[in-house]
Amino acid sequence: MRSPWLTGALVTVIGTAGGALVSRHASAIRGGPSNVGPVEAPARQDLDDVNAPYDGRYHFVRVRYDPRGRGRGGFGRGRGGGPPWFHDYPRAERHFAKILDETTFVHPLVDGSNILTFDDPRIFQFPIAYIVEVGSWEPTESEVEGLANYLNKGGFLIVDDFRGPWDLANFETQFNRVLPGAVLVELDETHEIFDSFFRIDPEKVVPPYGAQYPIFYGIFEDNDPEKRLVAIVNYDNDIAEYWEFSDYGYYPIDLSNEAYKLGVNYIVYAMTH
Amino acid sequence: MDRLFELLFKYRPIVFEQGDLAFLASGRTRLWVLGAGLLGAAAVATYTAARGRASITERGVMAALRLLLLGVLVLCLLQPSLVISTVVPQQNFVGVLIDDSRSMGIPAADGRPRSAFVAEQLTPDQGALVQALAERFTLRFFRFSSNAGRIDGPGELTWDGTHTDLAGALDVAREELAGVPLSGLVMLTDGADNGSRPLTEALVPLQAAGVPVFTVGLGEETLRPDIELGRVELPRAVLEGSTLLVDVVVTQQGFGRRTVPLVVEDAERILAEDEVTLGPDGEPVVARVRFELQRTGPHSVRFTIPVQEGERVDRNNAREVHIEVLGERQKVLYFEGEPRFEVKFMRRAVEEDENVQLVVLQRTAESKFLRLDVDDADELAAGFPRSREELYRYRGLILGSVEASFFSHDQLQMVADFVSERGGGLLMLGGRSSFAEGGWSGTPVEQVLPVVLPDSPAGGGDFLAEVKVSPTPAGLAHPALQLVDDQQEGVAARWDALPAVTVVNPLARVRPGATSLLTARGTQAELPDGPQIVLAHQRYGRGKALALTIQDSWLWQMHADVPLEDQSHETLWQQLLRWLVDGVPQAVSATLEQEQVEPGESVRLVATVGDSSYIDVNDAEVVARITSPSGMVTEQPAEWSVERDGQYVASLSPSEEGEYEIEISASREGHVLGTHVSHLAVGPSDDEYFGAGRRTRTLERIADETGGRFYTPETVSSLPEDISVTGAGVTLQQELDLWDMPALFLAMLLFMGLEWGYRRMRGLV
Repeated sequence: MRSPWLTGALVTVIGTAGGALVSRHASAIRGGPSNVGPVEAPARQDLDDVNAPYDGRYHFVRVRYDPRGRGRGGFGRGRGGGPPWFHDYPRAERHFAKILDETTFVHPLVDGSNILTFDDPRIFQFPIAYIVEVGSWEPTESEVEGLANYLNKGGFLIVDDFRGPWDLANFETQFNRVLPGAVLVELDETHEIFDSFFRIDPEKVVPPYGAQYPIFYGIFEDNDPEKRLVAIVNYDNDIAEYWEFSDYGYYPIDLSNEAYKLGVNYIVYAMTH
Repeated sequence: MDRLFELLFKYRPIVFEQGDLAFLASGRTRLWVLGAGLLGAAAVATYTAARGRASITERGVMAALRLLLLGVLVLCLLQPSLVISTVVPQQNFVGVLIDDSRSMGIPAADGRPRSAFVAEQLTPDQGALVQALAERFTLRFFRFSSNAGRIDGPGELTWDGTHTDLAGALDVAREELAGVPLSGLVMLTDGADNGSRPLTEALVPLQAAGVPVFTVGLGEETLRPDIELGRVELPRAVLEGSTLLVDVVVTQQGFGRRTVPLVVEDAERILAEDEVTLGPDGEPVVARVRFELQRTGPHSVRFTIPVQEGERVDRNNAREVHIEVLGERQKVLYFEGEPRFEVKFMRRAVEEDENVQLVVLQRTAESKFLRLDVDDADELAAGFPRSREELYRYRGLILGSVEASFFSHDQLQMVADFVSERGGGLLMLGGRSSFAEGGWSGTPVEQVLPVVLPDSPAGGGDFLAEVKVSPTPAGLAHPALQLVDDQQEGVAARWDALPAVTVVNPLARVRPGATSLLTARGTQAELPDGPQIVLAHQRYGRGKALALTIQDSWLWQMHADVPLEDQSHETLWQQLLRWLVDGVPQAVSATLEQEQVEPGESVRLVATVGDSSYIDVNDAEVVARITSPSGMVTEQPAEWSVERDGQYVASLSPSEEGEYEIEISASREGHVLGTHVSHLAVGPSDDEYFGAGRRTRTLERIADETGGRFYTPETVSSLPEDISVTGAGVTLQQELDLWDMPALFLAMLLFMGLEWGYRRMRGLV
């Protein structure tokens, strides 16, 4: 394991490198600083136009769903809006993929990412999925069945970018349709996911929304913390927000770094556990 | 035929084979011969010059016939003889070796056992053979089965020996008779040798000493009708819970095309039941049965085909095989060079296997490692092992997508030695940094791999093919690839149904001696040298190496087409890892040359002793601690064999029936190098009833290589005389006249008759 000073130095470089990378590739990233503007969310039938086919590498996969309009969804935050599942797309994942490629040996797809639904069989080729704004998430029966299969077979779900007890309650309710009886267990800093690549103090991953206290929930296979972690929930947090704007200077570099580190740890953990 | 030969030529063929031709005529006789020659010339001249109506051809024929007649006469006058060495009567010894094993009790078609011949022919003062031998030689009798020894006569035989050791019997007889003039050894046996030593070891000293062996083959070559469980191949030890796929070879005569049941059971339960359809008469069939052994410890597994009506031998329908079920955890090191899903899904697949511990060293970034399932904080703390001692703690090694340049040259050599010297199992997985794409060509590890690597990555390393996977015939029969508990059709169908995976290492050639078990199919699977190889293996030194060239076997678990309850991925990896560590030796190990003996029978224990780096140790103290079925403990040292480094031997003679436990302990200078526990079953054995037909070729070989002859009960009457002319010992030279051979007189009569007949035919009389 690296010494703390070395890690710190590395992470600082990551933050700057991330910003630099985004700047250099701005023209390739819709909604980048040189191209700020609304981004159209692809319709369900148009996903093939934005997705990259499976090639054995890790692809960042964002989950698409049809919101039922109960959540606040983060619309109208001055960046063009769009459906809740779409927030921070595609800048967040593109930036993150580049950082992942720079800091680890994961070798992800860096010039593309995927959007898939839980009832799309192609999602099973990508065992890590990312979903946001679950306050408005109400999966269809086929999506419920797909996600249950996905998780039981070995898939891993990252839940991000939502806040408040109402959203959390909705997520718990919907997730219990997927894995009945599933319990959200609060993870402390001793959990392996905070040490799979970087040593992370979860308390330092401060949410971009303001003064919320960061809480990370885990959902375990058979609700047994000794077993496999099938999902991690960034409650009252939004690490993709940091990723998206790491080249803007909206947020302090230290906070962006912590968000990147957390994402890297999630991927390495999910690939090995 | 021999009799006809003897009638015509006065002596038997063997006399002509052994003797040298000589002409004994004196100088005066030679004058007579010269006279006969002149007479012949005169006869020819007469035929030529005489007036008459005979043509030139007719005169020529008659002259030739007359000359032939004169030639035979001249031959007789030259007194042809055979000069031959014969043994001096009563001054030489002959050893008579009699098979005293149980197979001698097998009855022939007329109901008489093979031993009846011995009783008839060798009973003192009554048997024709023994009398004829005794007239010429001093006889010494030996009995043999699993051991051999002197007896006073056939009356001491019990026909109860548990094995037949021909080599041992010949050794004992040769050594016992080493000080006397020995004309030869007579061996009466069915030749059904099941001793552990090669026959050559006993024949070479006999050849050197010039002692011929005369073999008498008893019994029939083919027992009919009969069914025999010919061979059952089982490993000596398996991990607990392993599925065993066992080939049972069934041979038969007289039951062709019939279907018979096959039952597999141990002391506790029936393990498997199947039906075997027999092939044509005389052709063996291989029946495959599948079963699991759960309890750890020694197991006796019995394979039985019920005795069919009319069978000649009913004790060769069942075989008992002994196998050790190991409960220990076997450590496999998986070194993965880049984070990828193979790690997660392989860990999941084998996590419930209590007998395999998959230790993962995951490189996550440059000089950054994640260790999973290690035993303690020190294990792999410095990354990939740098010493043999550290690496050799594992029994299997999996190399994921990691480039060869990551390792030092010493580490690469160490990986190769892990297979060749330590005897471990190596598996290389496909990936962007594996095989040629990872720069493994030209490294010491390249030779270990079962696939041929190109010198440089094909297509510049951008190769990507989506392929389906099919087992080869060898793969279809391989235990590690049985994804379902079914016959081969079901296994093939299961493989066929698995979703496509991807390959980034184009490999289409296996090394000579390697076996391809899985190949790819599909439009992208064809390479210039043939279809993409997916799984291949080869033995290398003491260990084995596997190559699994796909990069995402996890799709066989995760893919949408694979039902959630499908266990193919788990089954494959559990079986692959068990195969990887199967048979991997420990630094100290021991084997018994027979897995079952009868009480009082001795068995050889062979132990191999190495240090923690698996370097052979010749100065160890090796002790066998033997616990009998009644709990009595004895200790017996094993001595270095001298023949081979690190090999120690001891001879055990268990006396109680039941299961013996033998713990081998090796130490050097007070430091324990290792221990090994094995088991020995002691009880009645049916070995003598397997392969019990007469082995004519074996007996002919013994006779041919020592200068003796092979006989059957029908031809044995000439044996005493044959020993007289072919045997060694005290001999004298004899001249045997040939001039009075009936064949010569018949020849003269023939030529005279032909001439007369020719004249009559041509009207010249």
